[in-house]
Amino acid sequence: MSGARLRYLRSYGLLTAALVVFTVSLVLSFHKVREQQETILKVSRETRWNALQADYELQRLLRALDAYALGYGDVDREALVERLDIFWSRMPLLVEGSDGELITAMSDAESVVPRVVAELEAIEPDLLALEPDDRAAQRAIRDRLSALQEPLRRIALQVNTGTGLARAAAPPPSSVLGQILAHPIVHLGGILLSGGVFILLLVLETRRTRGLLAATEAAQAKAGAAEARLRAVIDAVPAMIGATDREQRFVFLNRQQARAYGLDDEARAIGLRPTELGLGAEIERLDRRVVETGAPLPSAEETRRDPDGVERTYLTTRVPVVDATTGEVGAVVGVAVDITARKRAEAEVQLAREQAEAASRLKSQFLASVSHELRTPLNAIIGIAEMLLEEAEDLKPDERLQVEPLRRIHGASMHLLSLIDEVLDLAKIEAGRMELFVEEFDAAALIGHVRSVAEPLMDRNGNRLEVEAAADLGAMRSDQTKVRQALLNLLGNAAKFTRNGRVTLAARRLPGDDGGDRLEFRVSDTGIGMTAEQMARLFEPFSQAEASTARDHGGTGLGLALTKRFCRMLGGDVAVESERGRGSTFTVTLPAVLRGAADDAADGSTPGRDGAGARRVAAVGRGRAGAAR
Amino acid sequence: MLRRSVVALGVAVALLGAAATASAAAPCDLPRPTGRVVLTVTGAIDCTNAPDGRAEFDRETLGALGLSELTTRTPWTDGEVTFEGVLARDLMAAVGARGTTARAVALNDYEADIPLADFERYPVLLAMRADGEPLRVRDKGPLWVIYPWSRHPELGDADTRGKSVWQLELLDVR
Repeated sequence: MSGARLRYLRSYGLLTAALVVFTVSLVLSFHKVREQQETILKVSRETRWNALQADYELQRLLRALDAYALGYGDVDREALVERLDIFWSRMPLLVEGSDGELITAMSDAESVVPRVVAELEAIEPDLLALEPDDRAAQRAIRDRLSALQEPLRRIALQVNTGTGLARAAAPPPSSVLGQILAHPIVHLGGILLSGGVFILLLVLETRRTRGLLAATEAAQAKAGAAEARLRAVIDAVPAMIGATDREQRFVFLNRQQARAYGLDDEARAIGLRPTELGLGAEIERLDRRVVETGAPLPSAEETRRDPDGVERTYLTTRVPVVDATTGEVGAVVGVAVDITARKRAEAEVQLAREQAEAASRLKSQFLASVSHELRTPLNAIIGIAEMLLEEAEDLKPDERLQVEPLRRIHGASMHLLSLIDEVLDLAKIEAGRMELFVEEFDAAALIGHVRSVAEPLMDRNGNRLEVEAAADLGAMRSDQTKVRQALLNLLGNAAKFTRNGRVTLAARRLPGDDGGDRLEFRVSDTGIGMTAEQMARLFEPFSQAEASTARDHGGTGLGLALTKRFCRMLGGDVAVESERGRGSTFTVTLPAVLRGAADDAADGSTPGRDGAGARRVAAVGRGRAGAAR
Repeated sequence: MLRRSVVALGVAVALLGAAATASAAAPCDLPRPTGRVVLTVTGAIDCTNAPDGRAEFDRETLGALGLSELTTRTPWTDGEVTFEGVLARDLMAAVGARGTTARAVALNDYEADIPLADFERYPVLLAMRADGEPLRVRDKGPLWVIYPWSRHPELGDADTRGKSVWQLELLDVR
């Protein structure tokens, strides 16, 4: 780039220099020629005549001399001297007066004339003394006079030709530079040199232009290739790209769009409006809106019937192309992606989900009703068993053989009933039918009640129950039954998975950070604990930490799932911390006052879908394992 | 009409009177030259002193017509020169010239026609001396027709230069 510029500047400098030399030479030459012309005007015919006449008179003198010596004609000494005088009289004319001034300027007259006069003065006595028959003397005089011819002729020549004119026009300049500049060779040289430089520059420029032309062609070819490549890319984009001008006529469209319009050649659409291509008026309307508002249209779904008769859905975006100079919208670029297939897939997914949800609801309803239907005969069995047991206990001891089987029937039935109740509760929750009964109660009393119920459970595995209830637990407004059931579930679990250990129930009131206090119930055991994996699945229905635990410990696997759902329904949550072999700690946190529950309670809520306020179960594993139920 | 006739009559009378005076005032006693003849006058002249209607003069008889001085520049000399010689009009009167033109012929065969009116209008001199020195042939003598250039700038034209004949030897009046 800089090299090219340098070359450019250099050729410009050369051109300028050549131009200057050319101009100067021309001006100098012109000046010279004009000076000469002026001189020519000044040099009249008289002047030229005078210059010539000196030589002419010398000729006549010589002829007279010959005639005198040879004795022909009537040339006597007097006539001869007169000829000498006449010739002599020409000398002052070469150096004096206005003519003399010019002649002097143009010729060597200034030096020649005194020499000639001196010679004439020298010759005069000889001529006066010349005898007609003295050939030797005559020849000597003749030679001396003849010698004067050459300088006089040169003067005549100088005055009558350009050489003298040039000298007269420009007296030799004193400075060397002036002499050089005044020399015609310099002018001619200048003109020739600058002309040569012109021609050289012309040749160079032609070559450079040819180079530029080649470079331009290469650049054009490159640009053409780039355009073709860009075009290929745009055509390959799996989207319809088109641009319309201010009058909604197509100025560009890629192959995808042309195909969608049923065109083989996209060029056929250029200059046409969408309606002229058999498309709906909507496209034109939207394009016009972008032109009028100058604002892009955000992505929108457009469903339309294409020229091939198929209805398709497009995701379209329209963007204005603002002309940088006018600031007006010059064109509208539209990008459309055919999302027909995606829309269909989305619809299918939506349908599948709705079907799945309906099935799930159906299942829950089924379970709820089945559980109910199961409980009815079971209650009958329990009632009859109790009745028979009472009757049997009234019998004599030796007649009480049936008491133990009846007790077993009663116990098993009660267990079955509790299982059914749990299944029923879960089913109710899943079916969205679980109801809350919110009331105000004393938390300490609740703890006392839970303790009295849980204590007998502890005895079975030789465990000890410790209760650490804070003095300021105060009142709670919640569903008392469900709080109790959640705590009993956790205590039952702890008792079940701990042998000869300690189970602790701790309760305290936490000052609320946002809208009300909360109550924290902590159930800790010294049992077998759980792994992180076990904890992760802990609160899912029908899940026990290990399949084997069900065999060892019994249970439905619904207890924790129910606990979690109860806690979530009550606006709180349950978390677990555990380590394999080190026991587990379940923490239930519930709001002291269940807000809005009085209204919502009647309808209940669906824990499965309600995630907004619910905190996730924080299974804080700390890399250790825990027990499962 | 009457006035114009009177003027015309007056002019005619004056011309007749002048012509009568000229012819009457020609005593015609030109002496014969004794020295070398420097000037010959021929043509329409009333007074002659030589055969074939010629009037010849040497330096002496010419000078006898009355010498005048004229100081002027000339186109052929540097600076002003004081010439001495005979007024051309005196010579013309002396020879009783009747024509309008004098053809001047020089030693070098140069010829020029000089209107006699020039001699009346200007003190044209037939110079014999320049700055006191007699004009030799080599000094454009013996006679040189000198116009008063210094006093009359209009004489600086080529025509006048042509009439300023040097080395004059003959005047032919026509």
